[in-house]
Amino acid sequence: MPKKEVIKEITPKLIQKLVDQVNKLEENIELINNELKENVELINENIRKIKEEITIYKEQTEETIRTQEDIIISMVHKFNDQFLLEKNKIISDLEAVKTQFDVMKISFTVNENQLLEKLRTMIRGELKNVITGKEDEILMKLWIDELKQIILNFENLKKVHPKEFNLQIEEISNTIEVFKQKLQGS
Amino acid sequence: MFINEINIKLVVFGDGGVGKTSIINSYLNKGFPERYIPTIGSNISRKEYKLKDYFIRMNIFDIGGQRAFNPLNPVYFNNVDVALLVFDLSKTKETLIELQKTYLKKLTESSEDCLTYLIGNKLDLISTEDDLKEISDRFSIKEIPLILISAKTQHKVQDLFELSVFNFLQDWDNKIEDTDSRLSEEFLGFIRKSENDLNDLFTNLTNIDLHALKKKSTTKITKKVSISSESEIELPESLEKIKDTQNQIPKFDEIKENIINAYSNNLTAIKDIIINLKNTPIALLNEIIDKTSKDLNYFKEDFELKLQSILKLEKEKKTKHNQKIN
Repeated sequence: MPKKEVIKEITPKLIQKLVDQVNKLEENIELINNELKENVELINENIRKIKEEITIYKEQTEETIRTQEDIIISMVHKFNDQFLLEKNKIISDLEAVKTQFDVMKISFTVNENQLLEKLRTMIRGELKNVITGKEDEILMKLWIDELKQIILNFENLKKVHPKEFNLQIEEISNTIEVFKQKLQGS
Repeated sequence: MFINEINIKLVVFGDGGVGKTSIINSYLNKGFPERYIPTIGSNISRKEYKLKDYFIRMNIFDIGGQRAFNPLNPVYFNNVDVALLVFDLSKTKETLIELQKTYLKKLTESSEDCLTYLIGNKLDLISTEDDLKEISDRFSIKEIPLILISAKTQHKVQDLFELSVFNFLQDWDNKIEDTDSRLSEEFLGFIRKSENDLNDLFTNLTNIDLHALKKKSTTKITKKVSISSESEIELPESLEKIKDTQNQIPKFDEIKENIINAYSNNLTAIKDIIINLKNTPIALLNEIIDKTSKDLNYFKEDFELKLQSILKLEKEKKTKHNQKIN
């Protein structure tokens, strides 16, 4: 730091010197002020320019976005329209397919019934051919099979409740009666 | 509604062709068959008498005598109440020996206490006492009562079965020991005969009077009308012997009808056996169920035999038919 000058006596020379110094300082300040002013103006100018640029850019960007939005919205609308169109078409096709399916189903059921009836008639015919004249033998064979089953379960009669016992006896007896009647009627 | 029911198992044994079925048919008024048709297995018929407080049901087991038809099935020999051992008076030698050798032996083993009668059938074919004397020479078991009958003329047939029921009821009365009500006497009243009338049936071999025997014979002969116009057919192997010996060829439909009728009759018999289980005392139930189960098995064999016979007949008929076409 410069060493402070100690004022021992205020003289006119000193005062002048001080006045000069003040003037010089004021000039400097003025100079600096002007310089600052210029700088501020420059900065302001720059800021303004930047602002303008930003505004332009913003407007351009907004424009772009709007355009893009419009495009997208347009695309979405187009897609929706297309989708709706396709959807309606598909629904219509589906309805047609469904109708066709129903028709086919009915047709299939009719055909199936006809086919089954035809099959049944054929089987009945074949069975009739095979069975005709052999009804007695078939009944006899069926009874023997039934009797085998009765014999197989006969032991269980020992374990059942009297009421159940009577029921089972009745059931066997009825079965025998049915076979007997069928055999006599065939 | 009857208070009591009595079931009698009467079994008719004897060689094939001695006339067992004809005797039963004669008794049941089914007529005398035109031609011999062998019984396949067994055929169970029934005759019922309704007394005041009792319902007497006689189950008559007609056992096919041909060996191919399993005449020794145990179901026929178990729990027999009355056994009729039938032989052919015109073929005493062959038919009587078989009775002694097989049937009587097996019967004694299985149903020791049953009432047994020796029945000489076809009395109508006998012309001299000498023919009958052979029985005396051949038959060594004298304690079995002998009765000579003719299924063809129905001579003593009705009496024979009534005697069987009467003697069974006598035994029954003796077991019950109820002096107030003797079923056997009630039965005599029902058939309007005396004990002497029935005892008259027994033949004394030492003093045979053929004329007296035949004098009582009726001449009622009913012929069974043939139901089929079908041409005669060859018989299956199992029936072939009969054709040779009888020189008659039964018609297919008649045989088949016979078998089916027998099958149906046996169904009735089984039904009775099953229904009777309901009346079994609880203490005896397990035992009776076991016995019934065995009987059912024997019946099953009999049903199978009948079915096989029909199938064989059908096959034979078809073969014969094809031969005719070719």
